Amino acid sequence: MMVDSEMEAPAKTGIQHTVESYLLMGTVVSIRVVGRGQVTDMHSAIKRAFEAMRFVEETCSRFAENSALRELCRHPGELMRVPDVLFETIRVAVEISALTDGVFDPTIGSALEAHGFNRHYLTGDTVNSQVECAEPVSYRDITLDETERTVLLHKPMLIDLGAVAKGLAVDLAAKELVGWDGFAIDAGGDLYLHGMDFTGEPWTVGIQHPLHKDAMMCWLQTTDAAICTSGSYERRSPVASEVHHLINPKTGKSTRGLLSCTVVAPLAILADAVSTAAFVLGPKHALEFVSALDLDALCISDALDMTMTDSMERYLK
Amino acid sequence: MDKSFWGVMIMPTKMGKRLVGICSVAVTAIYTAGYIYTLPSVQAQASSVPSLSPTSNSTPGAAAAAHSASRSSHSRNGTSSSTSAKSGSSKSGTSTNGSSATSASSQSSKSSTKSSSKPPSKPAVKYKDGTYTGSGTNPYGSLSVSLTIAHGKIASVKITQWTMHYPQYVIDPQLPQEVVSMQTWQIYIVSGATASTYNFAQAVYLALQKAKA
Repeated sequence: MMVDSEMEAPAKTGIQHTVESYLLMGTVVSIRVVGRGQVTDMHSAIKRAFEAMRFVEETCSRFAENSALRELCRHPGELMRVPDVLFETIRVAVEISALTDGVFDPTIGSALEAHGFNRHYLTGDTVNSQVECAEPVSYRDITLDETERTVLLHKPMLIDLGAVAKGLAVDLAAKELVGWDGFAIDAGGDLYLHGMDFTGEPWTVGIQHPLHKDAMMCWLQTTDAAICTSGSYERRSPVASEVHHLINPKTGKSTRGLLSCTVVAPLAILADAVSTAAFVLGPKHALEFVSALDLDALCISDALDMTMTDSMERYLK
Repeated sequence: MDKSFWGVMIMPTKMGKRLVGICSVAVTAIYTAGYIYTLPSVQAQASSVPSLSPTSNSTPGAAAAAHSASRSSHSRNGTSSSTSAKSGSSKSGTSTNGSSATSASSQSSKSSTKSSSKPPSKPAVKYKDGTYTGSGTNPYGSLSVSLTIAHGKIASVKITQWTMHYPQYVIDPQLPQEVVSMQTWQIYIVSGATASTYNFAQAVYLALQKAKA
């Protein structure tokens, strides 16, 4: 229970803290930094962190006409050399796809676009990639060459890296903040926490109630970890209201049974991808999948039941 | 366990370690390469078509073939919209810190500096009964609160003004209730609503500062 003494935070002398927020990647991204040192230095570090995130968005966004990703998708059938950021992100996406036997699949871009997930969050403009996907595609239609850093798309396809790129952006931002006593990066459901918060404690994070934005399902306390939530409650298809943005590539439909799945992992890119895959796997397999990977997860079902992996409980506050 | 899912998958726990490894390598590789993005960024692999020189390749992006191979740091045709975030940026970072967030952040740093300069002992905070106001601002808008102290305790917190770019129900009434029940301005991160959460905390903090005076 909080007591009066905690009103005089920060509890430790010489500890500064600050926060900045920007609109990025379709969400409000907030970065807070805690530590000894100049607040101006904190702002410089935060600025670098936001630049890193903006870089990921510029290169890996399905919505930006000029992104390296969109450029790649304009050249199916050609051996294309791509920037490292795109190569590595596609590689992680393909690995997760193979691991889940295609339940997770980055070639789902066209299906998302067809379901109306095609609006740029800043401009509101409708994005049409003009990619004609006549035949079914899967991650197996992507060939990566590690040494040459090339990507070959065997068929026309629209790649969506949404389930990994945001996590990657958070991880890169974290790299820019190394050295501070504590920081928390929150990119709308993708979090990375390091060190202590401004009271000197590990960070406390609320898991939002999937149906009531003003309520929390529970609180987690941890640090030096990423926490990502994939939920069906944030993005609904404007075309068909029962469709949300987490679509099973194998069925073309959005998964039922879960409202959200929260994964704790050492990196945000991993937590992001695994929470997406677990969500799509559905209530029967989500926890089994995550614990087999030696990670932790907390799922909230349609009936608002909360289930979690055995070792998840240690994070509950 | 349903066999249909894992099927022929082998030793998933090892897979977990492998995935962590792949992800760490990916993040480090991207970080090391630097955040240079120039257009066109994607080129057909010239070496795969030996008869063509890089500049006469059929793809529009071929002219920049040298770029990604060398990871050179110069940008082409002014289309680069990112800057290097590596060694040089810590120097340039401070001098160009004129972003739209400055007002909110300087305000917040002020409040944190103020509170951290106080003695680290546990002073018994005494609030004078009454109603106090405070507000918080960031690039997405501002909000104001009206905070009532009764019998030395926080009795109620009301959001009186809201110009955030998203609806008030994102944090209201959850956060005001939390302030009253926890008796503190410190509130935790609400996933998805951090900007307004922080504004709210700042507003309550400023109101409490007035209540102490």
